[in-house]
Amino acid sequence: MTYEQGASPVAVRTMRKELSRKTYPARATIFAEGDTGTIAYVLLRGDVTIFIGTDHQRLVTRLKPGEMFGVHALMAGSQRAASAVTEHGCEVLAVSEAMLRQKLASADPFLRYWVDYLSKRVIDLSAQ
Amino acid sequence: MSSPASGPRITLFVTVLTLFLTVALSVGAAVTIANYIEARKTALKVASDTFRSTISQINERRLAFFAPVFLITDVLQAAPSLQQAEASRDPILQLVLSSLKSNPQISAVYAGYQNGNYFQVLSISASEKPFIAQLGGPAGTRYAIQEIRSDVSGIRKETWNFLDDDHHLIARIAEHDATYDPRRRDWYRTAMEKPNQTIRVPPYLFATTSQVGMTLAKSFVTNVGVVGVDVTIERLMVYVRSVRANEAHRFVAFDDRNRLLAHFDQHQMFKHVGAPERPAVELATTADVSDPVVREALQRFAQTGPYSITDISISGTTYLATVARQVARDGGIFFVLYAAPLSDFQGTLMDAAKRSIPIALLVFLLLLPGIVYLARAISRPLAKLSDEAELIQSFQLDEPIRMNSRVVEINTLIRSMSGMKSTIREVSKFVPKALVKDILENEDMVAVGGQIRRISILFTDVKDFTPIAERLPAPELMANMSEYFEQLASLIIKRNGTVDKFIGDAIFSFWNAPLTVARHEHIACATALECHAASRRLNARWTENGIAAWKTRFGIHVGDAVLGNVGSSDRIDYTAIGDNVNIAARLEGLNKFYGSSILVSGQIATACSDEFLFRRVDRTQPKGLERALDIFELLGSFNARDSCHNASSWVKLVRDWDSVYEVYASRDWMQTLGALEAFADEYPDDVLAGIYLDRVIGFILEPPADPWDGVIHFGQK
Repeated sequence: MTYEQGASPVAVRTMRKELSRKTYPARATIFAEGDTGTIAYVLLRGDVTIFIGTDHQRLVTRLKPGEMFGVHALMAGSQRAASAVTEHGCEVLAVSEAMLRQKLASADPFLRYWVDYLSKRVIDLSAQ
Repeated sequence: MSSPASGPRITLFVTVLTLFLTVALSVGAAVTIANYIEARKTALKVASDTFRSTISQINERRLAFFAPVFLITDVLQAAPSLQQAEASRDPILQLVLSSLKSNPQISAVYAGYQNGNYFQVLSISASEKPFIAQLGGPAGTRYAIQEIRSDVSGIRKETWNFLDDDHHLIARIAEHDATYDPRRRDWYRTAMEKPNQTIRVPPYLFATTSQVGMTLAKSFVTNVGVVGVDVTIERLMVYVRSVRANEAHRFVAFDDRNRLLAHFDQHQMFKHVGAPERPAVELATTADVSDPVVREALQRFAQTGPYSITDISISGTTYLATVARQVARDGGIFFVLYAAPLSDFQGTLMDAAKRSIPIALLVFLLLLPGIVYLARAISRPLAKLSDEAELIQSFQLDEPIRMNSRVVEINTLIRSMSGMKSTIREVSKFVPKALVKDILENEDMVAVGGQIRRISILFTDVKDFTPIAERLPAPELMANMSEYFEQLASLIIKRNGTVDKFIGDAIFSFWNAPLTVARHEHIACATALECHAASRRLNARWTENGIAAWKTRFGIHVGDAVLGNVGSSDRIDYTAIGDNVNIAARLEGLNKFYGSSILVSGQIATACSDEFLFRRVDRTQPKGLERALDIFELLGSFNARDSCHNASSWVKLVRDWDSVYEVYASRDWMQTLGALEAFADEYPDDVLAGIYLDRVIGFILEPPADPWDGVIHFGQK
């Protein structure tokens, strides 16, 4: 089923279907550039670094717990534009595409446009 | 309300009975008086007729009495043997004697002459006997003949002859000198002065017999003498007295010079005059009459002349009297007075009352059962009606008025009252019953105004009612709504709640106004639980019948509100207004967000945690509210009587949730996430945990700014 928080609240069981905790060992890749995938991740513990390029030529950012990554795929046609790698191991909370879309859908249209615009700009810039 | 009448209270039954008795007695009295007045009129007429006939009887007797006297006077006056002073009287004697015999009222006939001669025949009755004896006549004398003649020498000699009943001479007194001289007598002189006319001397006492009498006299045509007739009117008087019905009747006759001609008491006819040594009697006048009735009647006569009838009141007794003018045979005028007590013709008013009142009472007694029946017929339904009125006053409106009366107006009253009762019953469905009761009991005018009171407010609403309403046909929808409201509202009313109004699918009700309700916060919670249970039972039945279930949501809050009458003078609503009412409504609405059924404010949870189980839900500040609002969900009751929820299963949940909330409150979102997941493992169906999970993920990504008060702000209602 789809999670629609805006309509009416649902049982926590239903919500948890859209979420999952995952633990990665040191130097593990959470996803790699070019992969297909629409799940976003919230870093709960450990470290995650985002790279662009086949050999991680360019370091985009280092994430701290409480930060989210992997949301671009949603706007970029399910294609990972970067790779997420943990150096010392990490724990993440995976958030389903459905939940992300629902959040977006329930957001203000102005904000929705803004998010969409920024995502496209990021993709454009990445393509250059 | 008008001030009650002072004085003792009387039942309607007694009033009606008294009324009838009064009417019966009044009618009796009125009939009596009317009868009396009518009888009095009749009495006057009867008296008048009686008087007239009595007077005419007396007149007839008077005429009959005097007719032969006049006749004899005329006959003697024309008799040749009497016209000469010297002639023998024998030719006329037999006629005289037979006349005297057949006319006992004539006591004497006589003739007097210019030369002093005199001839007299006396008719001797018992009263004259002493006179005859004194004269020297025998006891058997029936007639005495006195003759005075002058002899040759001119000396007048007198002789007496005494005859018995058969006219035989039985004794004689020889000639002796006469002392009596007719020429000096009144009758002689008067008659001589009026030739050829019968003169009448008013009544006087005869010298010989002391009897009352009159004298008629007439002079001879030759004018040599006068004939006289003495009449004893004793017999006439006896008759006059006997004609009277009783001794109380008065009869008086008097002439135009007020001299008495007749008196019902013969002793009053004359008065004694003159010196004691020479006593004399004289005919009395009307001025001498002593009888008060006659005196009063005479006084009126003096003022008005003759009258046909009048009433005279003498020392408490009423008399009727008449005075009639009469003309005597000789043309003389005289008057007859007759008087008699009114009581002889009519009973007194008291007599009439004594006759009528018992009859009136008897009629009343005979009619009494009917009157009692009638009085009951009026009073009994009215008494019942007043009981009914008291029932209405105390707001017991359920039983219709079942009674009837034979009296049309009372029947109308019963119908009106019955109508009023059912109207109040129906109208009271539109307004809070307690309010109407309050109005009825206090008899206050309902006016716009209000007071601040602490009330517990309960809002209910049906989840997603709008799509339900749109799907159902209107009649079905109204039927379902009525059933739904009946279920819930009756529970609220049973718990002494005031159902302020139905707003679409919502019920707005409160406790502690206008009725004071102890522990109204608890009652509100208990009622919400009962309503929740009732709603679920109703839904179970509806679901069986293919009707979609209606999920009810509740909001409870307690606080001050303005209570009172709001509106125009035509249409006033008793209602509660204020922030606290809005909060209750907002709480009810928040159920939608939290997926809960009964949300209550922190004030309610604090007040009722001794009896009810609450779960902390959130701390929010809905739009429009100035202060943050602690929200709790009412889960159930510890009280066995309020067996709406099985509380025991919820206690652990509340405890576990409180642990989660504690972590949440510490703002360690990673820990909270863990706690929530642990909680979710145990309570996978919990909705609130899902909301918090979602929220906490957000907080991990975007922690709330410091200082965080834990308040969640809602931008919309």
